[in-house]
Amino acid sequence: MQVVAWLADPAHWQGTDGIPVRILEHVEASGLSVLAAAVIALPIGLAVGHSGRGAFVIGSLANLGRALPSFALLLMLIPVAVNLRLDFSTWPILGAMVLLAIPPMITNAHAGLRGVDRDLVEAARGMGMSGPQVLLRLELPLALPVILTGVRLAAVQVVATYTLGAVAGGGGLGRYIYDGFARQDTPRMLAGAGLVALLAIATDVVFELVARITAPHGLAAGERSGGMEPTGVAISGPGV
Amino acid sequence: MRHPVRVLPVFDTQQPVLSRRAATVAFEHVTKRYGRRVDGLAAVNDLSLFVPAGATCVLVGPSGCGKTTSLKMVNRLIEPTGGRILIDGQDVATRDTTELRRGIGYVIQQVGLFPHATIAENVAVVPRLLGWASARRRERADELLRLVGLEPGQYMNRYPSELSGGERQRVGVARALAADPPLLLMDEPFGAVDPIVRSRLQDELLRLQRELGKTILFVTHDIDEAIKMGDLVAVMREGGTLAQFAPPADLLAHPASEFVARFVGADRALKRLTLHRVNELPLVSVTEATLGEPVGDVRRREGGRLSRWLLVVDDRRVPVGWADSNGLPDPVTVEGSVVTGLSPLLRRDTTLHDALSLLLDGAVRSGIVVDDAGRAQGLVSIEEIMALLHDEGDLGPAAGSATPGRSSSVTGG
Amino acid sequence: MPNEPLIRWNWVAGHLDEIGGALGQHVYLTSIAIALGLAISLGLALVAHRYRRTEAPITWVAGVIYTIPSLALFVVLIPVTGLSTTTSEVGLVGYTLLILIRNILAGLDGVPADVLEAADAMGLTRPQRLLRVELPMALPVVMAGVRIATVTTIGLVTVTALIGQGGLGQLMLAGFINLFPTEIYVGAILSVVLAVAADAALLLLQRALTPWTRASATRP
Repeated sequence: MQVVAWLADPAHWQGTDGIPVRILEHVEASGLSVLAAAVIALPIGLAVGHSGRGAFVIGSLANLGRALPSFALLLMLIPVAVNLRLDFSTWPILGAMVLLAIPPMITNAHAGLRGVDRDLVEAARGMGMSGPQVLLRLELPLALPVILTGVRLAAVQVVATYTLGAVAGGGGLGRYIYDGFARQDTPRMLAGAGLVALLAIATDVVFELVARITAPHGLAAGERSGGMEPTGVAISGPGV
Repeated sequence: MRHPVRVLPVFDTQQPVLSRRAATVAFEHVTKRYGRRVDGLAAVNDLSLFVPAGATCVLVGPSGCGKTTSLKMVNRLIEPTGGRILIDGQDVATRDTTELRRGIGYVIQQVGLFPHATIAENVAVVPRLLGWASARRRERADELLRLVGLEPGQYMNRYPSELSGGERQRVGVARALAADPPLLLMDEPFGAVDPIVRSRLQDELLRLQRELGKTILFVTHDIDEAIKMGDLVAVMREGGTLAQFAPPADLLAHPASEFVARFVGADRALKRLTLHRVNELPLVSVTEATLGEPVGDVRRREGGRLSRWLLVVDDRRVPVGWADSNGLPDPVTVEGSVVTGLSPLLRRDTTLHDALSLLLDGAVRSGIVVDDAGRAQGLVSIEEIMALLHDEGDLGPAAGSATPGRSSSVTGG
Repeated sequence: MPNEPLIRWNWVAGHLDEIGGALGQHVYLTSIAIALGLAISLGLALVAHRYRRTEAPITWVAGVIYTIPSLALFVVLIPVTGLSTTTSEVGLVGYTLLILIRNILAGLDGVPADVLEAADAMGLTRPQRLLRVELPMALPVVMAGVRIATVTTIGLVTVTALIGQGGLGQLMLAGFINLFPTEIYVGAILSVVLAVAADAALLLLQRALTPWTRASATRP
C-alpha cells in the first residue's frame, strides 16, 4: 500500500538518501566488518581447531558472544570513540560489528576442524604429510562447510547489527527505520524494515548457494550443508 | 504349593511372587508381506505352529528368516497380512492393542530401559499403567529384583546408565515379569552381552522357567542357544517358511531337510550330548582300596579275586588314583607310591558333552563319577556314551559296539 | 563527553531505584517472552514431530523470522500493535521460536529406538509415551535451548528501548542521548550480568530436573 508507493517513488531512488546508496552503505559496512573479523577470527579458530587445545576458551567465547547484546556493545563504544576523537557515527558501529562477528567464526572454524574424523588425520600423518599439509589438504576442505556456516552466521548478524548503527547517526537501511520512526513517516519506516529484512534473507540465501557449490564432492548430503537444516537458516546470535 | 489363577489386580502378600499362569500361543497360516504386490517379498510365509502353555518355544534361523517379525506379530508391533495369531484361543487382532501388550512381557536385545527412570521405576512401568498403588509397586519391584538375582537395596534407586549390560538385561526380564503376564516374548535377549554373562543369564532364565512355568517365545540366531533353552524349536529359513518344528532332541537326531541339517551343524551328534547328563548312563562298579589298607584285605573283600586295577581312595572315599594290583603281594599296603594317574572326575549332572570333552582331554576311555562330596560312585565309559546316542537312533552301526550293563575292563589314566 | 569518566559511581548510588526499575522491567519482558515462546514452540514442535511433513515449513518460517533484523521486526509490528509491550513481546517471542523448536525436535528425535520400542511393547499409549518417556528424555536438549533463547532474548530486550520499552536498554539509550556514559555502561554491564546469571540459574535448574544425566556409568 503506502509502502509500495514509497518504494515506487523515483525520488527515493536518488541522492545520498536514495535506496541504492543506502543499500550500498549497508553492504559495504557489513562486508568490511566480516572481512576484518575473518582476518582475525579464522586464523585463531583454525589454529585452535587444528591443535585441539584451548577448547574451553572457545566455549566461553561462544557464550560471551551470545551474552553481549549488540545494541549494548554499540552504545558502549560511543564514549570510547569520543575519547579517542573518532567519528562516533561510524567507528563504534563498525567496531561492534567486527567484535560480534568474531565469536561465530572462531567457534565454527574450531568446530569444523574438530569434526574431521581423527582417523583420517592419523592416516594422513601416517602417509607422511606434515602438520600444515594436513591442515591445508585434508582438514580445511572437509571442514569448509562448517567454517562457511560460521562466516554466514557472522554475516547475517552483522547485516542486522548495522541497522542499529542509525541510532548513532550511521547510514545504511537502518537510517530509513530510525528517521521514519522519529518523523512518524510510517511508509519510510516500514520500507526500511522491509528492505533490511530482505537484505538479511538474501545474505543468508547467497551463503547457502555458496555452501552448496563449494562443498567437497563425495560428502553425504547432510554434511554438505555444513550442519544446517534444509531450511537454510543457521543458529547463533539472532539478527539484532 | 500351587495357587489357583488370580485375576489382576488383586494382590495378596501371602501369595508367591508370581503365579504359574501360562498361555497357549497358536500361529495359523500367518503371513507377512511387504509391498503392495500379492507376490511381494514375504517376511513370514504361512507359518503355523502351536505352543502349549508353559513351554519355551525358540524361533531360530538365519537373518531374514522372519523370526523377529513373527514374534512382533504376537504383540502386534507388526500386523500380519494374512492368517491369525491366537493367545489362549483368542485372536490377538480382536483385542485392544494396549490392553493386549500390558498382558505380555517383552524383552529385547538392547533392553530399552528408560534412562531417566530409576531401576525401581523401570520395573514398575506396567504395574503403574495398571493402576497399582505405589507401595505395592515398590514391593513388587523388590521381589522381582530378587528373583532375577539383583540385591534390591543396591539397585532400586540406581539409574540404568550405572549398570552393566548383564545387570540391565536382568532388570529387563524383571520388568517383563512385573505384571505377571502369562506369556513372555524375548527377542535375542542375551545377544548384547559377552559369552560368560550370556551363559549365566541363560541358566538363570532356565531356573526361572522351572519355578514359573510361563509360556515363552524366544528368538535367537544361535542354534546352541535354541537347543539349550527350548522345549520346542522352530527352525525358519529365508523367505519366512518353517523348516522344522520339534523338540531339540528330535531336531538333532532327525533333521527334516538338508537346510535344517546344515543349520544345526555338522556337529549335531555332539550337540545331542548337551541334552543328556551323566546320570543317564549306567555306572560300572569299581574296586576301591583305601590308602593304608593292605592288599590282602582288599582281596578278601572281593571274595578272593582281585580285579586288575584298584581305585585308590582316601579315608573320605575321594579318589586319589589307580593302582595296578599285579605285582602287589598281599602284605603290601596300598600307599602313595603305588598310585598312578587319576581319571577325569565327573558329576552326575555333568552334560555328556562336557563329560566326553573331559575324557578326550585326558585321552582316556572312562571317567570316575563322584557325588557332591567328591566320593567315588562308579565309572562311565566313552562306549556307554556312544551307546546312548546309538539307542536314540540314526547313528548307524556303532563302532566298537558296547552293550549297556557290561562291566568293561577299566583302564586307568 | 570529553573528560567524562566511564562510570560515575555516585550517580549509580543515587539512582538505584531507576536502575532497579529498569532491571525489573528487563526481567519481566524476558520472562514473558520465554514462557510464551516455550509454550508456542512446544505446540509447534509436537505438531512437527507428529506430522513430519510440517517440520520443514514450520522451521522455515521460524528461521526467516530469526534472520530478520530485530529492529525491523519490531518496527513492522508497530502499525499493528502500536508502541506497546505487546509489540515487543510478539517480536521477542518470534525470535525464540527457531531455537526452541529446533531443540525440542532434536531432543525428541534423540530418544533411542529401543526405548521407544520397549515403551510401545509394554502398552503405553502414544500420549503416555510422549509424556512419560520422550519429553523427559528430551529435557536436557530442550533446556540447553531455553538457555540459549534466554540469553538471546535478554540481549534483544535492549533493542526494544528504541520503541519505548527496553528495560536496561532504556538506561543505555538515555545515557547516549544525554551524553552520559555512566548510564550506558551501567545498563550494558547489567544486561551482561543478567544474561550470565540467568544462564547459570537455568543450568542449575536443568541439573535438578535431570538427575539421571549425572549418574556415572560404572561399567559398560
